[in-house]
Amino acid sequence: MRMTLRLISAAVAFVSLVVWLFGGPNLGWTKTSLARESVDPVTGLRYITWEKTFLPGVDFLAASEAAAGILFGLSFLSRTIALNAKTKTDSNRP
Amino acid sequence: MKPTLMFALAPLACLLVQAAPLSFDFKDPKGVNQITFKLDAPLEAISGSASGVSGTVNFDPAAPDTLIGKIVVTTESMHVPNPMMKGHLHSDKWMDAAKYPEITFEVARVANVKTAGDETSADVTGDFTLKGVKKSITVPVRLTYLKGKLKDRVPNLQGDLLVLRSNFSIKRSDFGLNSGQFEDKVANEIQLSLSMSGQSVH
Repeated sequence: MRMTLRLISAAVAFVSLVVWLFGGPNLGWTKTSLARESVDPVTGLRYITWEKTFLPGVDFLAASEAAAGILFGLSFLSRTIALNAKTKTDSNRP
Repeated sequence: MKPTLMFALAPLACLLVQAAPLSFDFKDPKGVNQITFKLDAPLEAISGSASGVSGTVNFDPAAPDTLIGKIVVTTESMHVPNPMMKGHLHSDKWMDAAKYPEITFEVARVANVKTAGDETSADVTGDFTLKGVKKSITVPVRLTYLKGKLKDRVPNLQGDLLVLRSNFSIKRSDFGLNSGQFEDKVANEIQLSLSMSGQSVH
């Protein structure tokens, strides 16, 4: 259990870091659409169209690393719980 | 009326028709018309656009100082790339899109009109209404009159185009947008950029 939690924690931290790095790395907020500027050929007006895409930002990275940290913390807690359970079982033996 | 008199008055009638201001409809089916906005913020400037533009402007190329009209933008069409930020923007804490569905600018008067060829620049004063707060503001406007160019955009229609561009700033505190709050997170100044064209069908 302890090892599983630590492995999941490491995987979450690593994958989110890789996703963030390959997405930019974007030092701004997470975006689900990106502005593309175009020019109208008749009027010469510049205008923006929004293209749906996912660009992870620092908030995505922070949330993922925090989740990984919580999982890592839980791994210590699980060890304590397991130890307490073992002590209880031993003390109940005749 | 005698036929001779009718023939004599015909050129005058033509002149009067030509001298009348043209009415330009700013509802653009191509989705080019938009207002972009930008607010400085610590991590990253908040930039977005609003494309729900409509309204009518009466413009006389021979007398640009007689410009009148109203531009309307739907609050719901405001878009920022972060979905959580967009939710906040439309919520009652900020723009309250449900209660105040429109942002409007109605022209009251025009000053400092300068025309060179198809281009006219002017300072336009009008009532700007945002989140139910109406304030008189003066903004620099650049107009480009494109005579007979409508057919280049819409092949089956004959008419003219009027291109309107303007860059100006407003303060969110003037319009009750969390006045005096969160200024460490979102700047008080909102930079606005209008770029839109209207069509007048003959």
